Amino acid sequence: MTLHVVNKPPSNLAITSCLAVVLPGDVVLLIEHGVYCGSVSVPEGVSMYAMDLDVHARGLDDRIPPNVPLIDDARFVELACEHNPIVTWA
Amino acid sequence: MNFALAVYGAPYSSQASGSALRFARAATAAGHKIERVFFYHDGVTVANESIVAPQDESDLPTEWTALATEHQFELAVCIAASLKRGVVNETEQQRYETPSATLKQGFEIVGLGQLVDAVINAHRLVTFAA
Amino acid sequence: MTSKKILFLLRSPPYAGSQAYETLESLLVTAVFDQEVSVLFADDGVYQLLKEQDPSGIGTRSVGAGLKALSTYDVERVYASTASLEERGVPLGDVDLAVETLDAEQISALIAGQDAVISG
Repeated sequence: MTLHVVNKPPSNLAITSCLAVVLPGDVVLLIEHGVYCGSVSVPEGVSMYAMDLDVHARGLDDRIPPNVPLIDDARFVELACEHNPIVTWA
Repeated sequence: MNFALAVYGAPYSSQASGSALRFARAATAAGHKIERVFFYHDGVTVANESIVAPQDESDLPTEWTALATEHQFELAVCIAASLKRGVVNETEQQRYETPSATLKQGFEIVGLGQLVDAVINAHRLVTFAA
Repeated sequence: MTSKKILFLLRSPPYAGSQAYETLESLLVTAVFDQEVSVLFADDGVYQLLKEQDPSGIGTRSVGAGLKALSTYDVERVYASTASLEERGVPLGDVDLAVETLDAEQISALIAGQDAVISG
């Protein structure tokens, strides 16, 4: 299962192109400007997470829906261990 | 787990270097190994010894060298990308007769083969793009 | 030497600085190391495939010409996103390289089968 890392906001193609090719069991991790994509819906069977520090930095704490858990760097590392390949959509 | 990290974004112009540093810190704290951190494209500029970080921001070059020294991994700066961005070690400074060497101690100038080598030897590649 | 499946996912157009050419160089070096290299041009990356690129006036090396080296380096798994080509009005006749076009499902499968994906 693949870990997709998106670091661009919704105005960029990154999240759309990523979601066009995700498979059930894949994980999408929003980092950096990618955290602005928190409200984008993902296909069935795909989990989405957002980097806590990037959310806090941007004042988005109240704007990330509850189905997008905030994770820390340690959890990012765990996700990278649990999934391969790791694809960056920039 | 053994990680290869690729960093493409310049420090302070993108979060790439900062995000990668945090990942590397978390990975080593969890007992994982860093095979190599490979700086390419604008990412090479973190290796400029003349960077003066503002006091209230992360000193990325120094934080990278400190972490790499503590956990014994290489900070590899791609030669082709670094030359054109003004990051030169003494060898290249003499070869091209530039005014001064600018490579920060703790970073190594390497060829592109070291990126491939890292990908081959590591379990995972994580890319931090601009 | 271990041979890994390494995919280069190229989504950026050429000539915004050196990034596209530098990524191409890393791709060719990876091929020299006898790895199982695949290349996928997607989104604006399909613009790298256009014929008749002439960047001499902007002082940079030609990505289009550089891509011709792929076959010399035995990089044969060269793909382009059908949707990306269509969205940008780039018919295969305007493409200067032998590419196999992939739909979304095929791209998903391509990515899932890789050991590493290098984004460029």
